[in-house]
Amino acid sequence: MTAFAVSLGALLRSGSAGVGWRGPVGLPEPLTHEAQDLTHAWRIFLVVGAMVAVFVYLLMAFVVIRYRRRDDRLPEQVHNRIPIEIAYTVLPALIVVGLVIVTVRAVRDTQHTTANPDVVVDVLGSQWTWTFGYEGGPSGDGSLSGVPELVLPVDSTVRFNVRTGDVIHSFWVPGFLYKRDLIPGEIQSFDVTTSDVTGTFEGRCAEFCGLGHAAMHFVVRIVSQDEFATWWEQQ
Amino acid sequence: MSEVDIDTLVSPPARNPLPRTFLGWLTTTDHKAIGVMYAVASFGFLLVGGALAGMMRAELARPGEQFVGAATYNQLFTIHGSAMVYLFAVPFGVAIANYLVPLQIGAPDMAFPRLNALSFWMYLFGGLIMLSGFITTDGAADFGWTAYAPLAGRAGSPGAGADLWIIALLLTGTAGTMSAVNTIATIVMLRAPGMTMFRLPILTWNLLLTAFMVLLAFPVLSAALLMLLASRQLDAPIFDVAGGGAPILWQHLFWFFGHPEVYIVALPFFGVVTEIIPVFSRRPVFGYKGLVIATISISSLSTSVWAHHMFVTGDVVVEFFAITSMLIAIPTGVKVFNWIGTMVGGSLIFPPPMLFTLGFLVTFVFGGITGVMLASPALDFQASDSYFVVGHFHYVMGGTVVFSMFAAVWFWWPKVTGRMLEDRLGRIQFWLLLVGYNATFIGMHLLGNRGLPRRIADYPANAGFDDPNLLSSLGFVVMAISFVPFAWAIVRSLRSGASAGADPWHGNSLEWATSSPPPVHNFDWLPPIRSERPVFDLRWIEHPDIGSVGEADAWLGRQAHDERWFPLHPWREDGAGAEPTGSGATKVGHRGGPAGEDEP
Repeated sequence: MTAFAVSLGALLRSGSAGVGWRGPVGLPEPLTHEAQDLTHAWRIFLVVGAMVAVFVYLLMAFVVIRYRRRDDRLPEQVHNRIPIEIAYTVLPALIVVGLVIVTVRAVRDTQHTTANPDVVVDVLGSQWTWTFGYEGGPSGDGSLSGVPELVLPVDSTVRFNVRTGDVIHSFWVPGFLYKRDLIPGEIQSFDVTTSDVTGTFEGRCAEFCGLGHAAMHFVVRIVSQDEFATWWEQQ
Repeated sequence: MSEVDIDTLVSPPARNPLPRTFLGWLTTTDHKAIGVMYAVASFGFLLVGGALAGMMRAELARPGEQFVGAATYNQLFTIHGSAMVYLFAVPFGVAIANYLVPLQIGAPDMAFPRLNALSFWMYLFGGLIMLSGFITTDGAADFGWTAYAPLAGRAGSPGAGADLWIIALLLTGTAGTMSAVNTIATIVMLRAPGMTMFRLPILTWNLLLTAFMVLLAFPVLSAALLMLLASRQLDAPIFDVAGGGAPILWQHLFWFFGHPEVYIVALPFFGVVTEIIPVFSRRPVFGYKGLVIATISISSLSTSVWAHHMFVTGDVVVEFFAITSMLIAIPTGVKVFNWIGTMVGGSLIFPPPMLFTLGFLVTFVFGGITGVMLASPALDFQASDSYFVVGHFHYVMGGTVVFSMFAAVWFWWPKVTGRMLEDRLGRIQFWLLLVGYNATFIGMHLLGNRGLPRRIADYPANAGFDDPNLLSSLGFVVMAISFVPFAWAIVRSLRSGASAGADPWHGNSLEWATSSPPPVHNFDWLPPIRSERPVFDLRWIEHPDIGSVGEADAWLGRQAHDERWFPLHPWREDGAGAEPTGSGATKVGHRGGPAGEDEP
């Protein structure tokens, strides 16, 4: 029971030792401008969702307490109230319209591509590791020993061209709040614009891909532009 | 003003009409016996799926590999998901359809009794074939219940367990399709005189619409499974890029089945709670036609939302599927408010069926809200394939099904067995289940957002994944314990349960107008069917608002209308044949003989 209470306590705090989640409900610190927009969308959905949940649960609690059986009389037999029914059809519809607008805006940000990205990374996922090749530059570490590393500069537009060597994988950097599947026979591209946050972050395969799926992770190191240039030269 | 005691109108059965020998069960075509077999078998698969989940939660309680390796773990989550979805959730809905549809529409049996038996046995052996994968050399299927190509192809999954999984689903899918045909034929053709479409109990409406979705979705799954089998066994390059195929095709076919599937799972259980709430609120269901329209909307929309499972593939127009998916929130919200609206102004009591129904509402509303979040690609880009999704679908599918399944079991157990279950044990079970369920699944949303992908046997320590996982595993233990009072209640009821009588809950629909358990041909007589609550109308026939005085002009008008348009059942003023002793019976007693004799 104590373990239970401890776990619950830890759950309610926004993060445990050494790891910080700045976003709501455990979302990681956004590493890209797109991720900031997506975090914004998350916040709106969370606020609306929480309001709906609180409203419905309070209504339920009220009804359950207020209308307990007090005597054996048959209550008035009400089959419908058309205006109320229309109201609770139209109101959710309006909420949905709002949420669709929020969605479409945030999605448009993630689908925006630039003509001349600063860095182009070819991402190859294969059972069960990652290879990162930089266009016009170094080819990243995809060896089975060691964790593959994806190095990116701050404040830059980065294009990812993702493809798979075998089955379906999914390229997921939680800090991007974004992932893209690697489908056999397809090369897909998307752009991100890194923010000014530097540091080392986790990346993972999100699509189940067989025996080594759980261990198919990589590291994203976001460095200053000078450091990135130095690293580029060294490779 | 007083209530008519339905029990005084019903003669109790001489003996339980369910089969008594093994051969009897094997050869029965009685819809009630088949319904019971479906319920027992699917409950068995629930226990199997739960045991597999227990092994997974044991492994995930702490980081590092302790109990099972990744290879075993992959089999565990594959068969856990498959058993829960294909062998428990859908078939329990079929159990409900089998047992209750003929009773609720006043029919003696399903339209095709032998087809019914065939579908049960195909389902049972299909399920056992899936589980038999565990005793093959390479173990059971290990590609998830979604079986994405090319991982599910021969190169990715060479074991025989994968083929057994495919064959199992072909069998259970075909069984489901046959059941759907049977349900539709039964509801369309065998309704008792007076049972118009808008007097059907909502449960029967939902089962009818579920059956239509099954007809639409299951053959697509069967086709996809045959393609997968052909590509594994005959080298058909359907999903193979090198041979000119496309792996993404599998996902389109699978989810074209898979998203209607979640409503195929859910709608029967929505129907269950729609039956239970009015009974324990003493109110008619609020907005009957609105509920029917909402259910039709959900069924129709369910065919155009499948690609919200594929937002992160980059191969679909995300906005379109975001809009269609979010639209489903509207009819679903209508349902929730109709359920609450039924309770408003009512006279509520909370025996176990009602408690489980409220538990369903709590979990379903939560899962519905995370569902709207997942319907938005902006959020799904993060949440897809993460533990957030795992948390979400355990709330919607698991919460909906488990809570309302228990609501159904506690509600109809007296009808099926003729004996009551003990309320006290039901309350204990409910609270344990509610606490355990939420403890198990709520932290998963957090895990997903923090970056934990689903389907992993292990996770890094000190990365924010430890505590929620431990909580989840402890919650599972509580949930498992909640099955103990249930089992005890069953044992006590079967041994020495109080006799239920025909109508222990003061129910609304026709099944409460016959004995518990019902005789082989279900009804010796039928009350007049003048609304969606024939038994309620009968019970309160002397009430000024319901029966023969005052407002009842409308009631009498409907009766006159029905006598004109449904002449097959001649009315009998003396009520002979029903052996009535109650005061209302002389007015409403129906001619005797099995209802089946009157069918054209």
